[in-house]
Amino acid sequence: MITIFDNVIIGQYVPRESFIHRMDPRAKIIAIFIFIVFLFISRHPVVLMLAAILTGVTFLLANIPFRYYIKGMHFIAIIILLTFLLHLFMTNDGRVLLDLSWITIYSGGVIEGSLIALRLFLLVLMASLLTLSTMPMDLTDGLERLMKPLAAMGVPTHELALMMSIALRFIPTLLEETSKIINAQMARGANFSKGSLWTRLKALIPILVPLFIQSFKRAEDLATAMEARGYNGSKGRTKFRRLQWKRNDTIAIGVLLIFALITVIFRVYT
Amino acid sequence: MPNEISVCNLSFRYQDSTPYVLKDISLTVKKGEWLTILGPNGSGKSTLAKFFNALLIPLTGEVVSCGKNTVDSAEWSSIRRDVSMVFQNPDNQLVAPTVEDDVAFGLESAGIPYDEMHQRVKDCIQRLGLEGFEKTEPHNLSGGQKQRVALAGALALKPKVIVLDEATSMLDPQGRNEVLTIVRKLNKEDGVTIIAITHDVNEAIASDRVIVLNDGSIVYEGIPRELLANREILRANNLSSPFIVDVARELRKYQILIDENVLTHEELVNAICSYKRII
Amino acid sequence: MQLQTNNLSYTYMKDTPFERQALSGLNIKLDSGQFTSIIGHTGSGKSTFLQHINGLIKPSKGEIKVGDWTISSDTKQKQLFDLRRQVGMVFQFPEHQLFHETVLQDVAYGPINFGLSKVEAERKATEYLELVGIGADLFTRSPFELSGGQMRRVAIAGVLAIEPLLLVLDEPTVGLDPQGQAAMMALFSEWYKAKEKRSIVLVTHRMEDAAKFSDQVIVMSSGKVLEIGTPEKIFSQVEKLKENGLSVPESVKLLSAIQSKSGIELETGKFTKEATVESILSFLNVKGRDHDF
Repeated sequence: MITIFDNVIIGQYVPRESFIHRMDPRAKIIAIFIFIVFLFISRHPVVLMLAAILTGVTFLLANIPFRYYIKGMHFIAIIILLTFLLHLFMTNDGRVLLDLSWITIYSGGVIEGSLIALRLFLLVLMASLLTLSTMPMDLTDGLERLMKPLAAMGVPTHELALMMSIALRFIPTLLEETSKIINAQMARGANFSKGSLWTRLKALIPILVPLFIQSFKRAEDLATAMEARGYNGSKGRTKFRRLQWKRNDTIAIGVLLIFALITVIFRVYT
Repeated sequence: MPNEISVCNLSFRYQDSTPYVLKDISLTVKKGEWLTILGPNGSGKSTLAKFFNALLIPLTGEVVSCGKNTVDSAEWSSIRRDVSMVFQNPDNQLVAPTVEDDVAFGLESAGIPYDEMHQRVKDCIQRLGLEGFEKTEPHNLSGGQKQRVALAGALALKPKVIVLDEATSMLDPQGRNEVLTIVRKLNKEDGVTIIAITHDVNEAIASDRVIVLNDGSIVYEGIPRELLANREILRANNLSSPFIVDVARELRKYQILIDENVLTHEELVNAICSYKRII
Repeated sequence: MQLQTNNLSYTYMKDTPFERQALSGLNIKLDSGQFTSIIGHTGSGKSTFLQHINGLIKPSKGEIKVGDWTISSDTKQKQLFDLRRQVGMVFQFPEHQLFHETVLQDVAYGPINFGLSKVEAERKATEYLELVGIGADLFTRSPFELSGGQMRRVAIAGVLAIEPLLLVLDEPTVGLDPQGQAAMMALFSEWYKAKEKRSIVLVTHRMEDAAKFSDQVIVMSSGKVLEIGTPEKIFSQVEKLKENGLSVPESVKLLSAIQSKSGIELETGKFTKEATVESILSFLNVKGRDHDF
């Protein structure tokens, strides 16, 4: 039944046997965090090259064919391109490369634009690699455990994790539901692409109302089901999943720390 | 045999201003029994179901489940472990994003230790024929498979009673068979007490006892055979009699001797063929 | 309306790793004015096919002709608007499409979309609400205050009110109690018989309905047509249907069981209680009709 959301596959888990797949989700989250922070600390070409190599190696290790990334990338490609153009036109450094009456392009613009585009590209690749190589449930679990120290400060970490897990469970169901409702209203002559903006917004009501009503019904049913299954918060709760920090996770974090160190060195001494 | 559940003079309405949904209900469910509660839509049967595991608490009357009075809130967790429930809509009762996580959900709540939990999840998944689906996301399962996951989650808690609240009404015939076959197995092999709430008369045939609920009152109690032969009760409660029973009744009009007890295909075929041999 | 597919194929999530072939090379021809049932177990492609009939899904390959319209992969949505007025669609749990403040407004939604004035649309709404058995006292109520069965009737009135020539039904009775199911099918049958030009395509898991109401039955399996024929022909193949996870109507099950137990041939293609009894009586050499005194 899913038709309209056919192309929403960004970040869907791709099961494989690989070094990256086997990593502890906590290690993956920490590693990506380090990578992103330090990627934006230095703009030295050596650092960017290192980051590119790091991304490349991770890719090979993850054993996920490149075509899995492309389909969902259109939107992000546009953002990267826009950012590139913005920097290209807005930077007034360096030699003049092109001088038209309405716009001047400087060499600094080209460099600045390319740097930011490359960084964004690497960032997106690494981030999608995280979701492509980790089961959503493991990701939630990793986050819950990383947030654990916050529980002492009164942050409801268990509830947040449960919310994320329920969202993961129901997003596909809701997408399917939306598709069904859209189909049913289109069969009754609904038209979402005609008339003024106001008319088009109004045309969404026949979709949103049923969707809300269904979602409330689901939420109510789900709450009853959870109660019937003895759910009573985090008190006395044991866990089905157990994360295991292995040697490879330490190695991976080590590599990222070396990358961070090099970045800092280049930042400070150049 | 001891009573697993006993309901005594239970009346209930959702608000003071609304009519009673349940009117002075008294019933008992014996250990190891398979009880069917039949009734048309709006008869109050799903509301009644929620009293068995303390999802609703009586204001008038009393419900005792597995020896524990449901008024006592300290017992709720333990009652819900003893009395598991499978609901109507397969999409709205699975909580976790994968099959094994969902089967484990109740065990996590009950604080079952790690090793035992894994053993039980594995056993239940195998028991319900869901091997190979451990990591599958619920939305990629068929309706029948989803209900089996829900049953696995219920079974993992080693309940004494399983309540099926119209658990097959949204399934296709294949899914319905899958679920009913397993329920039968749990009842016969594991001795789990089954309370099945349904509007499908055919589902009552295999059970030990039937209660018919209409407009909040119990209007009939007996064994399925007697109910299905009782055309007046069926008609008065908007229940359709099974096809086989109808055909047998028609044939009797033509002086063809067919036992009043005939309920299943096999029984009718045998009756017709032996009649053929006589004439 | 006539309906024809030429090598119709459809692939879900094409060009992604999650690609799945739902229909492969479907060739179906349905004449105008017929009642057709499609049976097949879950995942056989029935629902995907239905959505092609009014262009909610466009073929990946091949084409489908509905009346004067031809839909292929490059047909534009705009061209399909007029087609949708001719094809009514009742999906599973149609009550999930209700949204308006009152019952009457909800049913009038379709007719207004297709260009009727508010007055005319409400006249149509009244007419079809009465047809499905919703009394005037409920017209100004919110659809969400109604019972489940009533909600479904309102939703169905909302589809009938656009006055389609072809009605497409995707398991319209799921979740209803047996009495509700029978009443709903009687309603569709009545609608169908009221005008000669009307056609119905029904997807169902209930073999009794497929047998009782249809002129022809299509058996689908893994995205292909396994067989097309009259109910009598299709439901005489008990074993073949079983192989494909399908059953036969209870009447056929009973009659074939008598046949195989006694070794004497009898007519098994009977789908109503009366016809079944008739067939058993002639098997027993008991005279049926004139016995009724």
